[in-house]
Amino acid sequence: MTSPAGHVARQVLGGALLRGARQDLRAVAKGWRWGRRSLVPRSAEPFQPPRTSEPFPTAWARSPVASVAREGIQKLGLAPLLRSQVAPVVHGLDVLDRFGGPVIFVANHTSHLDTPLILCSLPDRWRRRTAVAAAADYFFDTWWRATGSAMVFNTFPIERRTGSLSSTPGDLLDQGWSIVVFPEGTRSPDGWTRAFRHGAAFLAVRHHVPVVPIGIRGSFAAMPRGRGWPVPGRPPVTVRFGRPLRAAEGEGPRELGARVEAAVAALIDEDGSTWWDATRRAARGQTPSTSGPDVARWRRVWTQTQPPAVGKNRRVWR
Amino acid sequence: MSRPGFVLEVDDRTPPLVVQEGEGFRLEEFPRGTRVVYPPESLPAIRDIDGAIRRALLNPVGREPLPELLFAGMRLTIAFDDVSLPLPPMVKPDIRQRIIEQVLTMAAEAGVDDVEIVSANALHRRLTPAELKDIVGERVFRSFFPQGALYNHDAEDHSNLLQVGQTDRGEDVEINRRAAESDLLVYVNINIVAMDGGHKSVPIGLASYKSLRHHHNSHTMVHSRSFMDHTKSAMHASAWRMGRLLADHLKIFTVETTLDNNVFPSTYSFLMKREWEWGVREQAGMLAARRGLALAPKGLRHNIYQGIRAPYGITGITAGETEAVHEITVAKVHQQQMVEVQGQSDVMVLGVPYLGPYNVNAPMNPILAACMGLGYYFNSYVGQPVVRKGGAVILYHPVEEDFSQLHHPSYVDFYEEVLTTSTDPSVIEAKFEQQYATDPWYIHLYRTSYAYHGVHPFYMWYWIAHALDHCGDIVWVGANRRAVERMGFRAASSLADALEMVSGTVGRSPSMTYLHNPPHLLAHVR
Repeated sequence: MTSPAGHVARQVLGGALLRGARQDLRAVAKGWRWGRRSLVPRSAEPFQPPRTSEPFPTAWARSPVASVAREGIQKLGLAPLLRSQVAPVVHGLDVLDRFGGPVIFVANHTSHLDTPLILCSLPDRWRRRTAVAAAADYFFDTWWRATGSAMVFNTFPIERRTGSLSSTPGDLLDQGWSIVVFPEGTRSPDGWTRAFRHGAAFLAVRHHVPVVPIGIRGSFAAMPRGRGWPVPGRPPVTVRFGRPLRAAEGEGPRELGARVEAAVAALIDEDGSTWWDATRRAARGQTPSTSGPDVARWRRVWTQTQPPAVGKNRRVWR
Repeated sequence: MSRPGFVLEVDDRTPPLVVQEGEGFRLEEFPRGTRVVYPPESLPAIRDIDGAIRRALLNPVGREPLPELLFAGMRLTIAFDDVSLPLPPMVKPDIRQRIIEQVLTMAAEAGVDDVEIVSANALHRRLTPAELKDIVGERVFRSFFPQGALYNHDAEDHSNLLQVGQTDRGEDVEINRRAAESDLLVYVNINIVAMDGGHKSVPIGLASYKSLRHHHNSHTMVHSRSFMDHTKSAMHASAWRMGRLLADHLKIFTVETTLDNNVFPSTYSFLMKREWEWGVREQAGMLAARRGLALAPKGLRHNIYQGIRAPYGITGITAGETEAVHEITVAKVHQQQMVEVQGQSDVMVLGVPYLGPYNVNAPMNPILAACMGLGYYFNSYVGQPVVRKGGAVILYHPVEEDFSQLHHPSYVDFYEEVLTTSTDPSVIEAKFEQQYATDPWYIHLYRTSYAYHGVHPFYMWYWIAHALDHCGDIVWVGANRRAVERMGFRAASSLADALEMVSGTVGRSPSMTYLHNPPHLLAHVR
C-alpha cells in the first residue's frame, strides 16, 4: 500500500507523470491531427451539425499596418516562391488600365495555386486593394488558418454551405475594394469547370461594379486537389484576363452570371487557340464546353493533367 | 435541436475514443470497422420545472387531480427513490425535493396532518441524514426528520411490514405497513433508465426479502431479455403482478420524472462530446484530467469522482395511475436513450465507469463492477443482446479488491467465501442465499448501520446471470487478475491482448461493437 505522498513522489520523481504526458500528447496530436485539418469519420458525416460559428473578423487584415506587412509577404515571399515552383504566363492585364476599381474578379478554380496566381499577376495598385472570398468552412475553421489566410491573401469568409451571402463582400465593394470570387464554390475535382453560382453576378448587379473574367489553365496539372505542393519541373500556368462585363439595363444576376461563365470559357478557349479564333467561335456560340466531355473520370483527369502548350519564344537568332 | 444517437464505424479518420474504466478513463484506438454506439444528445429540458410539476399534479393521467385525493384526517405517505438514483447524483435542488414540496403544499392546503415520508430503499443501505437532506431539501428535512416522520424503509422491521396478499402465481406481496395502510401513497420517482419505475417502484422499493425473493433470483434474471424492457423481463412481470395486486388494496399516486443526458458538468465537457468534434478546450481538458488523475492519490481521485454532480435537465414529469404514467415515462426514456443497432456482433466492448447504483459514496468493489458491466450495461438493449450468443464481452475496469466495510460487509464474505466455492448463480443461490439473507449480524448492520442487506451481493450476482448464460468469453482489460479470476473471468493488459484471448471463441477478425456510455444509452438491436 503506497501512501498518498509516496504516490505523488513516485509519479513526479520516477518520471511516470512526464512519460504519461508525453504519450498522451503524442496520441492526441496524432488522433486530432494537430497542424492539419480535423476530419470527421465518414459514418458520422450525416450527423454533423451545420457550422453556425460567428464569421471570423478580418477587418484587421485590411488595416494599413496589415496591408504593409502583406505587401512585404507577397512581394518578397509569395511571388518569388510561386515563380520558383511554376512558370506563370499572364495575358490581358491591359484591360485593367482602362478603368479604375472596384471590380469583381471571377475565375475558374482548379487549384490552391489560383489565388496566389491571380494576386501575383495583378499590378501593384490593384493587388493592394483586392480581397479574396474564401470558404468559411475551409479557410476559417481554425483561428490559425483563418489568421494566416487573412494575413497573406487578404481573405474574408464566405458561407458556401448554407447559401447565405455574407454582407462582407458588398461592404468591401462599397469601400472601394475589389474582390476575387471563384463562383464554382470549390476546386474542381478533375480540372474541368463546374456550374457557376450566381453570387458574384448578384453582387455586380447590386453594387453596380463590373466583373472581370479570368481564365486559368494549367493550375490543375501543376497542383491538383489533394497535393500540398506543385509538381516538380516548374509546370507552365496561364492566367488570362478578359474584358470587364457590366450588367446591362434590366439585366439580372442570372443573365449576367451566364455571360460571365461564357466569358471565362472563351478565355480558356482563347488560351488554347488565339483570340481571333476564340472570338469567332464565341460569336457562333461554339465555344468549347469547359465542363468537359461525358467520359470516364480518369479520362477527364488525364486531359486536364496535360500542361498547357505554352509557345516557346521564337528564336530570333538562329 | 438535439442530434439522435447513431452507430459510428471506426475508420482512418476516427481519433482515439474515450473508454471509462473506474475512477479514470483511457483513450483507445479501436480496430477499423468497429461499431461504436453513441447515445442521443440531450433532449430539450423543461424550463419551468415547478410549473410542470404543478400541471402534472393537477392533471394526472388515469387519476383524479392530487388535491381531490387529499382530505383532512387522512394518512398520507410519500415514498421516494433512494440515493441509488440518479447517477451521478444531480445538482441541487433535487427533482424529488421540488415534487415533494409541492405535494406537501397541497396536503397542507387540504388540512392533512398525518404525513410520513419514506425512502424506498428496499434492501439497499439506509441513507444518512445528510443524504436524506440532499434529496428532500432543507425545508422538508427540518419539518419531518426530527419528528421521525422522514425515515428509511426497514425491510427487516417485521412489525412495520404488512403482507398484502399473494399474486395468482403464489408470490408474497409484503410491503411497508405504513404505506400499505395509508389512504394515499404518493411515490416520487426518477426514471434514469428504462428498467426503473412503474410497478418496480412500490412493490420493490418498499418490500421485504420475503417479497423480493420471487423476482430477484437467478431464474428470473436469465429470463429477463432484457430487464431494460419491462415487457420482456421476467423480473418486471413478477413486479407487475405484485403492483396490480397492490393497486387493488391501496391508492397509489405515482409521479415519474425523466432526465436528459447531461451526466457530466462542464469541467468534463470532453466526456459529453463526440471525440472528433473536440476542440482545443476538450483536448486540453482531457489531457489535464488524465495527468491530474494520474498524479492524484487514490483517496483524492475517489473524492473527485464521487464529488461529481450531474447538471441533469428534466425532460418529463408525469403523474397519475402507475401504468399509465409509466407508459409515457418509458417513451420519453426511449426517446432520450435509444439507438438503433443493426444486428449483433461477435464482441461487445464496455467501459465500466466509477459509479453504479450501489456504490454512491463508496468504492466500486469487484462484484459491483461485474454487476455494472455485465448486469446493467450488457442488458442495455431491447430486442436482442448487442453480442451474439456465445460471443465475447470485453470490459474495462481496474476491478480492485476494494470493499467498503461500512456499506458492503456481506460483499466481503460473498467474495471470500461464496465465489471461491462457485460462480454459478443458481448454485450460489441454492447453497448460500438463505444463510446470508437471514444472518443476524448482516441484518443488524442493515438496520442500524449503513450496510446493504446480507443478501444484496447475491442479487448483484443474479443481475449478471443473463450475461454469463449468453456469453462465451468475458475478459477484463486493465483489471486486477486475482479479482477477475475469483469471479471466473480473465484479465488482459490491453485490447489487443483481450482480442487475442477471445480469438478462440470469436475468431481473428470478429465484428465488434463498443457501447459508448455514459451518457446512458439503450441499444435497440434489430
